[in-house]
Amino acid sequence: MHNKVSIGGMLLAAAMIFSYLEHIIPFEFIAPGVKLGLANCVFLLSLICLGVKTAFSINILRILLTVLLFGSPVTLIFSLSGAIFSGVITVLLFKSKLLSVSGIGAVSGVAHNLAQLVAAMIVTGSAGVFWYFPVLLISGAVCGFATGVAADKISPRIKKFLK
Amino acid sequence: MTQKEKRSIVVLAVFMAVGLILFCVIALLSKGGERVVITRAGEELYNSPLSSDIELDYGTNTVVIKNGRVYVSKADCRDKICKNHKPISKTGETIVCLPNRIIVEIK
Repeated sequence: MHNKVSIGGMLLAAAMIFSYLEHIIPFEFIAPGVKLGLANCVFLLSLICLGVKTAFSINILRILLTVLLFGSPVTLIFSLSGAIFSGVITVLLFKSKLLSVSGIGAVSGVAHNLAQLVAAMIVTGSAGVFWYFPVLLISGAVCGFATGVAADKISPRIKKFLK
Repeated sequence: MTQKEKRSIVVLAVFMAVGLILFCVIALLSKGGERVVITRAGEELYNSPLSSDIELDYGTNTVVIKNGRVYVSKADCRDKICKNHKPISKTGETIVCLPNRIIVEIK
């Protein structure tokens, strides 16, 4: 029990550092919303090692804290919609055991970007945002796949601490 | 390689293929834009032909229209996504500054 809490705290801290890193090293010149999705890696790790509820708690806490520290309230809606939509899909895929972690990562990346596109469309009132869908589809899938591979390799080591 | 891993690679390949196809389709179908419309919080600030070169300073953001392309040259927002955006010129393309609620659209 103690180990679960400390690993959870560590993952939350890691997620925040990743958010900050992505904030300072922007890939946004390719298209708005393109990012490495490192926070998705933490979500996958939390899901594999600590369970569904903890994974969601860590993700939502991360978003709230990150917005408080270095975001504007506008980004809150975007982050939350992306995280919740992709989170739900990730958990469903994980339980279904249809795909390996890398494939789940790819789908969550795409789902996250899709949710953000829809949120952007609602906020701006313009469907023009879907111009970016092809780029976000590719970058979301590739980066998601990579984060999935990373999570797959790291999770056994974390699980050792939880025995 | 397990079944799950094979399926994951297929999923990735499909995503990339669909993305590439959509990208080509959109690139081929896009038309040169005709008018530039700038709104702040839904209120229209500017609506004129793309051919008129002009520099528009709205305090928080500065929009430049030159040689048929539109871009944001100055912005006081935190993430500067609008400023780093490539210049737009085709119908449907937009540059958005969410914190300042400014939308630059080509119609």
